[in-house]
Formats: sequence, structure tokens, C-alpha cells
Amino acid sequence: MARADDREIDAAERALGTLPVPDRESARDAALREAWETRLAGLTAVLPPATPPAGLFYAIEARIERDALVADLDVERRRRRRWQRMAMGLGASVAAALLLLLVAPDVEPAPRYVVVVTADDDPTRAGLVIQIDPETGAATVVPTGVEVPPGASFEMWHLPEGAERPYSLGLLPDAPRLREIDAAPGDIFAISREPEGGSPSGQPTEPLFHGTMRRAE
Amino acid sequence: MPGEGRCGAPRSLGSPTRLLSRWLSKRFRPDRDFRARPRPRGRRGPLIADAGEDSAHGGSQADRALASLIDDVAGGDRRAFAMLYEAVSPKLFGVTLRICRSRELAEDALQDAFVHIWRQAERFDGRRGSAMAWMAAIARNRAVDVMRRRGRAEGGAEMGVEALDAMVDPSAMADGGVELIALARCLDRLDERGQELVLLAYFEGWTREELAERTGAPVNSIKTWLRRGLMALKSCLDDENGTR
Repeated sequence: MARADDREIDAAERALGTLPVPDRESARDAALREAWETRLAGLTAVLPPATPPAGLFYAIEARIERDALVADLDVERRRRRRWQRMAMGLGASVAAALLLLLVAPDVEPAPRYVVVVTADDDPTRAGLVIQIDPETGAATVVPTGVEVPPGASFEMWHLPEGAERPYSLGLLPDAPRLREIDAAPGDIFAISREPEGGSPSGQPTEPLFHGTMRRAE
Repeated sequence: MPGEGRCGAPRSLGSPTRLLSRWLSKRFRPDRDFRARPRPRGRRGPLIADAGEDSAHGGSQADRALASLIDDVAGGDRRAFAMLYEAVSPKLFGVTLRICRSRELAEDALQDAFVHIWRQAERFDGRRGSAMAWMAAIARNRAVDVMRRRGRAEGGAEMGVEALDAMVDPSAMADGGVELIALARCLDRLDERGQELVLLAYFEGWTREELAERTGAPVNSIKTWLRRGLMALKSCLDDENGTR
């Protein structure tokens, strides 16, 4: 087989999946492979359509939304060093959390500001979703499965952008019903683990979750 | 590759559905020994029977509409994205469902596919193929990825003829279009071994090694047969395209 043929058939096999696509595929090889992918896609024409479950589109939108958020947050995080100890990364749970926003019937579908608070040691775990109406300062807090261990309390904190120290918003799950919060994009919200009854020092003892407030649109 | 996969005299045309449906509903026996099987040429009748119904460029107008939606999506248009989802998600779900064979995995793959479509929309080039083919390829590839990442669904590979039959609806492809006819015809001209390897790799997502394992043939033979088959497919498709 001539070289050109080999190249062509390598591309075909990569499209088919019988050969892995190399990490550093040349643009020309990629084009050849994509041409094969399109060619072979005709095979799917025989497959009968099926109705995807309702709500799947929201999950897709939430993931797209999350990608944008995570990209923004990465920039934000680099800028803000103060909370570094807590800033371990934000991740996949933001999707679940946003999805919750989108599908929860008792939640405003298009909040003006939103915070997704995720676990510092496991960014796939969302703690809370907070939405804030900047007009009234009314906050809606949606817990997404924070479980308080016996003998401990979870406390919620607000660190306005530029502030030296966070101030307490009270204990979970009592605190986050509805409250007046004077918050702006860039503010950080966090949850810490405390001895039962709340922080003895007035400052977070063991920060567990955090998230930055973003404009929702 | 003399004698294999060349396009001979044109056979009568018809719905390409038949070829693929037949294959999909045929029971596959992984332990069958390919090597021992002769291929009497012309033994099988024409897979494609009656003429005419596909001569129109089926769905091309619809496809132009999809292509224009993809253009809008490339510009970040959420509404166009929602419309695109509305239009093609059943088709793409059919694809991921067939490959993943588990609703859960198929739903994940469908999500991946649409996120991919959103991100890659600007790379779509209508001159290089139909919008539907572009999206179907994405769905198929995401489905194979999900399968490889998460393991195959329970009861996967040995799914019997009844289940396959249930998934195949011959009327689903009434407007297959010219490209599809060419593909079906060229596939038909491969020897049965080449056909099956290509189709198994495509629908099951099997690698060379997995194909070897499932068919009991050495990896090197699989490689040779696959490449011969793909080569023949390519030259046949080139001929088909040249003559239309």
C-alpha cells in the first residue's frame, strides 16, 4: 500500500475507533479522519429515533452554563489570594446545582445573581446554591445535600469582596431561609464546620465549602 | 485488492435501509471463525431492491435548515441551539441508545454530544458533509467514548436478534439520500467479513483487539481485513461519487 493510502486508511481506522486518535494529530490527519467520520455516519441512518427524557436539555444547558462559570471563576480565583486556603477548585457539581436552579419549581428561573458553593476537597459536591435579588437583597438558599455530622454545626459565611474577614450568616440549616444580604458579584460565600452551636472565635474554624457570587446571565 | 470491493455494473437502487437493517437484525456469533468462510460472489442477492425512491436528494432542504441553525449556534445563539435540539435530539438519541444500549449511558452520551455540538459548531463546514452526518458522527463518537469510559451496559454484547430487531425500523430511513445509497452499495460490495468488521467496529465500538477477541481471529488478520475493507470502501465511494 502506498504511503498516501496508509495515511488515508489510518484516518479511516481512527474514525471507526479501531485505532486510537493520537494526542498530537496533524491538521491534515484530523481532516481525513473527520471526512471518514462523516462518511461512516450514514450508517446511523437506519437507527430509529427515540424520544430523550424531558429535562435533558436543561441538563445540557446547565453544563454549558457551568463551563462558562468555571472559566470565569478560574480567572477570579487567581485574582483573589486571600481565600486561597479554601480555594481548591470548582467543578462538576456546579452543573447539578444549576440544574436544580433550572428545574426546581419554587425557584426563580432566572436569578440575577447566583452562588454555587462547592466542597473544597471535592469540587463535584455542591453544598448550596444561593440566588440573590440585588434589588431587595433577598436571598434564596437551596441546600443540595449538606449533611451535618452529629456533634457539629455548619456555619455559613459571607466575605464581601475586599473585606478583611468573613461575617457569619448563621448556622445551617436554620440560617439560609430568606434573608437580607448586601452582596455583590465577586463576594465569596462559604460553609465551615464548627463545634456544635457555632464558631467559638467568630471566624470560620474549618472551611469546607465555598463559592463566588456571579451574575447569572 | 483485486476482486474485492470494486464497483461493478450498477445494480438496481432502492432503500439502503434493507442492507443495514438486515445486518443489524442478524444474530452475530462472536465465536464464528471468519477464516474458514469462503465468499461465493453473488451468492447473496442484491441487498438493494427497487428503484426510484431515493433518487431525490432526500432531506437536503431540511439539512440546509439544520446547517443554518448550526451556524447560528456557532455565534452563541441559545435559541437556535434549543431549536436544533428539538429537531435532532430524537435522531441522536436513537444513535446513542443503539450504541450504549442502556438508557442511562445513552442519556449521558446525548448530553456529551450536544455540549460538543455547542462547542464545536464553528468548526462545522457544510461543504464537507451534511449537517445531520456531522451531528450523527458526534453522537456516535460520544456514545463510544461513554461506553469505553464507563464499561459496557449489562447484557450488552450478546444482545440477541429480538432486541436488535426491536431497535431497527426499516421505515426510519425513507429519505436516506444519495450519499447513503452509495454507502450502502459500497458496503454491500465488501466481502462479508469486511462488512461485519466495519459494522461491528462502528456499532459496538470495538477496537482491533476487541474484534480479535470476539471473533477468535488474530489481531494481525483483523488489521489486514479491516484495512482491506476500508480501502475497498473508499475506492468504491470515490467511484460512486465520480459517477453521479
